[in-house]
Amino acid sequence: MGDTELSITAALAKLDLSDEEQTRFADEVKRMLQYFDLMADADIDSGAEADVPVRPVTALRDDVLSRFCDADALIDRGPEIEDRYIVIPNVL
Amino acid sequence: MAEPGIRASGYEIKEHVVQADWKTVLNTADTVSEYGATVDARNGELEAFLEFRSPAPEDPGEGPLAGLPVAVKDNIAVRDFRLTCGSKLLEQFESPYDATAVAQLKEAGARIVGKTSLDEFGMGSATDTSTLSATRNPWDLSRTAGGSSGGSAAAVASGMVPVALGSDTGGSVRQPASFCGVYGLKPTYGAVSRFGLVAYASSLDTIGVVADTPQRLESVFSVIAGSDEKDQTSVDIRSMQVRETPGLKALTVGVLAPDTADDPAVQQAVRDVETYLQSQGANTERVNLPVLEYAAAVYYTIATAEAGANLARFDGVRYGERPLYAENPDELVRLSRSTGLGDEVKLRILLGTYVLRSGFHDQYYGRAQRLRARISRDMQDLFTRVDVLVSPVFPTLAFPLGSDGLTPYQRKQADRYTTVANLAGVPALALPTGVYDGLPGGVQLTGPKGGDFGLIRLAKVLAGVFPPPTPPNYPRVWS
Amino acid sequence: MYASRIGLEIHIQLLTESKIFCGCRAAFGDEPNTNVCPVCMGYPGVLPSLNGEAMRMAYQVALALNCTPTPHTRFARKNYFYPDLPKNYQISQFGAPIGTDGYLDIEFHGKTRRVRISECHLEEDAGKMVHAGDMSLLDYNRAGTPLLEIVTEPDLEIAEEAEVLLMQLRRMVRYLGVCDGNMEEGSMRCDANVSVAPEGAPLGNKVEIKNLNSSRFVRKALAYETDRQTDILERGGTVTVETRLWNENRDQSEPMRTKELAHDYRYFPEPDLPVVEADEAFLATLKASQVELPQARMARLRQAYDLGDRVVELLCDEKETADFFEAVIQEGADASTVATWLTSDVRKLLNRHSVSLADSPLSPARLARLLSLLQASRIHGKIAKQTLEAVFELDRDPEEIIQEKGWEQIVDPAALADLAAAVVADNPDAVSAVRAGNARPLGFLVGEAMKRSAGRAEPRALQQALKTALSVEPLYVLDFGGAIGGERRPDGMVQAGALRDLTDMLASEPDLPDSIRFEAIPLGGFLSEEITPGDWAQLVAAIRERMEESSSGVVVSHGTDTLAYTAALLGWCFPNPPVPVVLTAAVQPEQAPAVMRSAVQAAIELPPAVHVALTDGVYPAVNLRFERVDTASARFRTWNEEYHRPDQWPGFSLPDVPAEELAERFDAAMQQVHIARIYPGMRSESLVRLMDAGFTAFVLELYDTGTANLGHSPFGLRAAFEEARRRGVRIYCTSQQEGVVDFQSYVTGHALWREGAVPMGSLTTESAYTRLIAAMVCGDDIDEAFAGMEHRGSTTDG
Repeated sequence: MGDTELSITAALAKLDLSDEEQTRFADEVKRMLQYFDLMADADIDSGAEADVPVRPVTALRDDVLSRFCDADALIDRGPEIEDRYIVIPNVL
Repeated sequence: MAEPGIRASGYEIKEHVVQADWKTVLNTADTVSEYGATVDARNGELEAFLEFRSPAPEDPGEGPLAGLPVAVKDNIAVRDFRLTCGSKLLEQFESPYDATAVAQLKEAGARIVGKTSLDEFGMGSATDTSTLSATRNPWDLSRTAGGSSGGSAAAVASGMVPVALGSDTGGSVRQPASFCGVYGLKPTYGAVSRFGLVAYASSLDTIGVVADTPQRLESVFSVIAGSDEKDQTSVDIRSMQVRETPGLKALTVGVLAPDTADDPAVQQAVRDVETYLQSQGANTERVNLPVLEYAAAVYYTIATAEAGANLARFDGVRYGERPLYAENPDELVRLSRSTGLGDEVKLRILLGTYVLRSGFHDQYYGRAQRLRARISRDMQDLFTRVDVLVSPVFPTLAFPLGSDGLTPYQRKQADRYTTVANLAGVPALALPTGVYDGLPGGVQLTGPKGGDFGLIRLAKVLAGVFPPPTPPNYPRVWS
Repeated sequence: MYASRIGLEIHIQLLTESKIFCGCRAAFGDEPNTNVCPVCMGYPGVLPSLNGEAMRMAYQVALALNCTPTPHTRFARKNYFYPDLPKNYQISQFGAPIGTDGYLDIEFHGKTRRVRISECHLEEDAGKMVHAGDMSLLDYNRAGTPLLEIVTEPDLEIAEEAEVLLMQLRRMVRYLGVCDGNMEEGSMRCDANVSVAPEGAPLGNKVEIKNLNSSRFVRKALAYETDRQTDILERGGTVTVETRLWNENRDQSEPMRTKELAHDYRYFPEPDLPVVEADEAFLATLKASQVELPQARMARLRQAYDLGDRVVELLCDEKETADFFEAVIQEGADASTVATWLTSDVRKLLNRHSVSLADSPLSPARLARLLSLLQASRIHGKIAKQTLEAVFELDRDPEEIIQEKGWEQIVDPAALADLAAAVVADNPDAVSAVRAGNARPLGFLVGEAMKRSAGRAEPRALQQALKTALSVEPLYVLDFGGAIGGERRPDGMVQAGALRDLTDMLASEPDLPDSIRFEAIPLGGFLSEEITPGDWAQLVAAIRERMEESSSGVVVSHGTDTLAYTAALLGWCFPNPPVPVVLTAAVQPEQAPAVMRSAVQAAIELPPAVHVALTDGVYPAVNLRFERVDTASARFRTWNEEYHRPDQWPGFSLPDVPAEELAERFDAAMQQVHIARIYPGMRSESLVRLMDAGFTAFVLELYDTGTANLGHSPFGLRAAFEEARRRGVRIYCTSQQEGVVDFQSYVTGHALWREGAVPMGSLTTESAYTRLIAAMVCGDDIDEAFAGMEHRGSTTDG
């Protein structure tokens, strides 16, 4: 992965990288991607589907209210609160 | 089995705490404060706990785990305890709720006494990627306790608690348990509700148990196993059709063909178990698992992909640390994450974001998913032939902390023995077989889906011949 | 010519109790951050727990949209950072959505168009962000509300079709009870993609339009966008692929701030949720429990009860109303009466009391009882309306109300006969005048009898009793001017004047029954070319009054010049008169006796409707044209025999207002409407000037099949059409080519719609103009009036 790709990736992940970090991560990422290339040689049979949990639609959660008893506790954890709203700098 | 050459320094344990049954340690004000003081003292050395709170003295009551002190890895939610995940971003964050497993432990009478150290968000093999603490191995303070559940393993191995919850995504319960000489179970995927476990890689994550004995492992696992409406990927393994693990004489054991590159002690441990089982009439066969070659690559591709999404919520908007000033929301998020998250976490997020990007998705994530399917099927096939697989846990024993140890890259490659069970969703248990040149060693038992209790039964049998080793000054009162 | 292709992405919030992935309440309008929990706030460690009811509703919509349900559906993560998205990924679906490959048939101006649905998928809603100065405020109450996204193929061509699709979809989801369809509150939201390309060419560059938060914005924004792209292409430019936001304040779309980074959502399967299996049994149960959908119900009601399209549409707009309608019928009431009451008086009262049918004091049983009282003539129409109002105010049974209030009428024929006999006995002068042939004193006698009954005699029965007592049949002749009642001056000009004595004129008419008595009512001595809004109002008011009293009919004498207008106007205003209303006219005063004869004959013999009787025959009221064949004679003919499809062009119901207000309404309506005819050299600008002058609607006569210069030059109509669209001015198009043209049969009709003009099918300019006036006079507001101009039909366009 080149510098541009790393920058795009970091931007997608909302990470700011300093020049020093950029260099360091570039090396480490490159090494890992090379390692991942091991998979390129592995034999893949197309039929296999990943083994995932399955549930019948009738065995899902019942549509009943179960209010979290302490919504205020969640507000209290907000870094900045005003009139129960969580405050962030303006988007515009 | 050679007598261990002990290099670790011993600790002082107050006699009456040691003497007390675990059930009565938290009974009276006196015992509680002595217990607390002792743990504080030991923890200074080991840094196994990020947060320890002597609970209020209380009659143990009736539950199956009545009065039992339990430590919980700090990526599992315990109401009103902090839930830092070893991250600066969540350094002050307190959980407003209990994980299902924690609620079940409390319900069964257990007392949560603290939160144990870990690699940041469970991403690491040595409990040294956290910016909040680095845990040391009770057998040798210059070595790692393993990771990422290093705090839980060290707390149990040093006798601070008899049992602890950990999490295992690619070996994070089994490897530290093995490095510290205790029992570690990674259950069948979904056997224990993940609700309340801060997700690293959701399709691989499990809550596991680290315990001093297989009996205790069983009693705690029995309490937390079961399906949970809050985790729709959970299953009740008791209702699964699983072949009964037969007695030793009828047992068919697959033994992973040794890799001569592994530490000799690691190879020795597998041979010791193999020899014993053969001597008891079990049928053993050497097994080759070609998937091991790329298991870690598949694992890291999938785990980082999921991690990239799972950790996106840590943005400083709703909770957690945020910068004092940001001009706009985007900057707020970028600054919160860039200053709050550590290097290993950033590396994995970058990798995970990359392998899912359009243009690279098929080459990495897509391919990894298909290989994962193949690994699953290979393991399923294997367990039609054998009842259990015996293999190493990790290619080395506990490695030195700092630059003498393994590089991050080497550590990741070394996860190949453990990651297979996570990729295939099958249960695996690390058990100690003795002390090799001063460090505990052991093996991993892997079974078919839902075969968790079978593995524990076999561990109990093996505990008779391979008694759990203990570091110096280990309190021998409950075993 | 350019063709536009429009596809929609519609999000509907499902009406579950709890959110899609947690037990928090899914509701609009609560205090901020109260319906939240660790799950919907994206706390560390939590997991989604999928709501089974949300899945059931999602499958129900998918089935209603004719989608193939996915037997194993799964969720996926859509990754992007935004402060209102608690996890910074949205749990959505990708690859295995709830349903795929469906369709919705939309009814658009008489044609059915099949719009393919590419898929329906379920996802979670985000929170809400309020902007306040230099900060933004976050409320996560909405986060986690189940949201079903319905994605159409780009099968729509014009903005109005998109509006219709949304309207139909809204109705459907309300029928299913899965969404309230409230666009203003955001429970139904729409994004669109638009691409314009030369006709026949492959799809052009796609532009996404966001922020379409009401069906009106959808129409405006999409019309704006198709125009914008057409402009660009016409000037030889290229449309930029981009996302634009509709700015409702400026009535225009603006490009969204281009981010330095294109979105890359990095979808991958949601590992926190199982694959959900919808087996045959589940789907079969779902299908079996599905309610009758609006389109099917409309078709059934139309057929079963022989109702017009507009009425059926009003009845079926809400399932509640349709259910109510059928419940009243179950109680034994007559379908068309119930339909009329429900769509007029009941609807008005519901609006006035701001209450829904279900919450109102009116039950199906009560309405049925009210109508049975009316049918048994125990109360008359006005009292029935009063009683209905009383039911709303008192919440009591109609029977109780009329008894308590003493509103019950005297209908007993014997009692009324006695009453009539007494009045006849006591008023010998009036009686002898009537017997002598004058109908006028009849009204006086009725009034006398009414007084004696303290106002409780049923008027029609009372009139009948009096007529029986006197052995006469009254017939009203309204003199509305024209040559028929005029005098020919020595110089040959015709001067307006009073209708000559009818008794004289018709005395020698042997075919008329002896019992007929006439009353001539002068409405003004003018020629038909002099008609003013006040004249029309007066005429309509007089007919309204007289047709209730007469058992034979109402004849209107008229001039020839504007007869085609007045006839159509009356046709629109009186779609179901109780007696025949017959207009008649004579080119020359000399023809008066002959045409009067045929008119009176028609009033006696024809079914109740508005007719036009002339020397050469009887014509329907709408689409009549006056033609002068040569200098001496003139004749009328109807334009297109197939015009008269009351289901396509139903009439209106006159408001129950005094004559003075009616006059004001006519005046106001006629001030706003202008008739224009296109011609070579016509400038778009002239129409715009008329708009400047205050005209809000035009009837525009185009060439032939609706052809016109729709280009951008000063002589093209495009600029005028765009301006009209911008101002909300309506342009209704007719053809200069009489006789055969029905816009519905030509693609140009559709093109007109695309340009924002409304093709009037096969209506003549006179009929279209008067329909517009009638719609405005009868409608409660301009929107209702414009809605009345919509053509309804059921031809199919595959």
